Amino acid sequence: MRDLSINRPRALPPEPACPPGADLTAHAHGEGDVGRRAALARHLLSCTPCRGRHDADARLLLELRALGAARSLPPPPLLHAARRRWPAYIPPVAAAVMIGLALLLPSTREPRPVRVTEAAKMLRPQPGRGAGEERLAQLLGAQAPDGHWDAEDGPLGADDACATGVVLLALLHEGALGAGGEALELAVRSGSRWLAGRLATPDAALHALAPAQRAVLLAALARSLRTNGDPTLARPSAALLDDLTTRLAQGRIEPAAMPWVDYALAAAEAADLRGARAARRELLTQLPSAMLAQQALPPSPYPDVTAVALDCTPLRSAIEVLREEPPVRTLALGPACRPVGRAAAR
Amino acid sequence: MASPLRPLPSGELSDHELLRAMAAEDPTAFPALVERWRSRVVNFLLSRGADHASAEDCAQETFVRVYGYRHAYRPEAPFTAFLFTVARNALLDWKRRRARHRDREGGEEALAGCAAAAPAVGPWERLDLEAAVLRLPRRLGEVVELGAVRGLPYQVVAILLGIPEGTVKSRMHHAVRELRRLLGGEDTHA
Repeated sequence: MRDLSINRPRALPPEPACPPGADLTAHAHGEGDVGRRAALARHLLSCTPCRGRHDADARLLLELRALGAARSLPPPPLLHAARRRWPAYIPPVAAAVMIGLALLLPSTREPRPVRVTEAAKMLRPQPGRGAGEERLAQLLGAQAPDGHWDAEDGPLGADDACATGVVLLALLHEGALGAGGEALELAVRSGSRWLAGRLATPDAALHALAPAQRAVLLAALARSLRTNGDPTLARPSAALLDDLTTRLAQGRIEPAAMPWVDYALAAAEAADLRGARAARRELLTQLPSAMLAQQALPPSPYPDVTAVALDCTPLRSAIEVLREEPPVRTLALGPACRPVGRAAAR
Repeated sequence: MASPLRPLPSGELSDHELLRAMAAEDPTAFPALVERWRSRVVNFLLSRGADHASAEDCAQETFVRVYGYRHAYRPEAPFTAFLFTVARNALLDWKRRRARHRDREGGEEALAGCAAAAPAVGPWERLDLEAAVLRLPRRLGEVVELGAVRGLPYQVVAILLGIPEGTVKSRMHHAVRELRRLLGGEDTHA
């Protein structure tokens, strides 16, 4: 006679006891090995009180992490193995020439674009390179000769300034892209100068930008200013900051845009822009607590960024790099995308 | 490339190899690096005019930054140059911050004083996490600063603070409870 006991439904294992609170906090913090995390996740599915505590911890930890993102690490020091020694008479002569040029040039000159065609050549696709370096190669390869990144006439509209701002933020994001060295510096400098030049033009499309989009531009310029100290970036950064501060004082920034504005003001504060700290304080008093409490998803500054991000475009790569930044963290990006080799770069 | 300042015994990884191992998320690499260089970084900072407590804090900040740079690091220059440049920058940032607080706000004591002076935590103050973190006891505050704010794994926090990982875990839990209490939210933890 066949033993049919195997077909009998087995009794479910008894519900495990609730884990200690420290375990829930650790899980919310992303700690624990795979097995422990899986066990806790199973428990959380069935235990409402634990899930409530876990979610409360996760929200608080997310807010704490946002504090840290606002004061992220400065870029790593750039060291070179060997320095060129100049003859002793060169520095004074060079200084005299620089002073002469400064006196001769008009004081209201536009920021000069930096040619970047060499930058892309310096970082060629190579087999076996890490994802960060592939992204860096893609971003550098997609930069236009005048320094901007193309919005590609997609849902971002015809505005290249926003796309350039996002890519600059990615390039300036510490530790995310690996050491790009001189090529990276060149790309950032030329992209920032293109953006500063664009902001100096009376362009109707720029004046129509929403506060969140302006915040992206301010964050990019302020981070670039802090990193390379390019004095041509100070004025457009200050102008953008003034604009956002005025809108803030007049209550003209919708709550959904506030995480982006906060992000930009944090970058401006780190760049020591005058008024950034006070503006950020003002914003924190206006930011509805419900937004943080509910961990509401801040919408992208672009209407259809998710659709754009599904392709392996430079913008998608830039957003991948920035996805741990507070305003970007919650964007849904779809399947992972890794540009491969030369085909990925335009 | 091995550090010229310290000949390596056989079998010991060089500094560059340790950085590579850190980038590959090898959990043993960071403790080894901290153990190898911590005292020398502290001495370097002391020689630059920091008092002992500040030198310890700046050394901790130095290793936090080195950990953060582990993916970006490239062995193009001696590790010592990289490490002590990071340490010098950490010290300069600390001095700048201290001077700014003295000039504008009356020092860290004033910040802590402002936080302590808040009579009752209302709905608006719930957002002021920074003030709440400042009100935490030091042993909890440093865990929150490194683990939650800086986003370091518990293991790294444990190494930097010289305490067991389990202690980091329990302190983080207590800190989160305490923060929630300070922010006026209900704390339902047992």
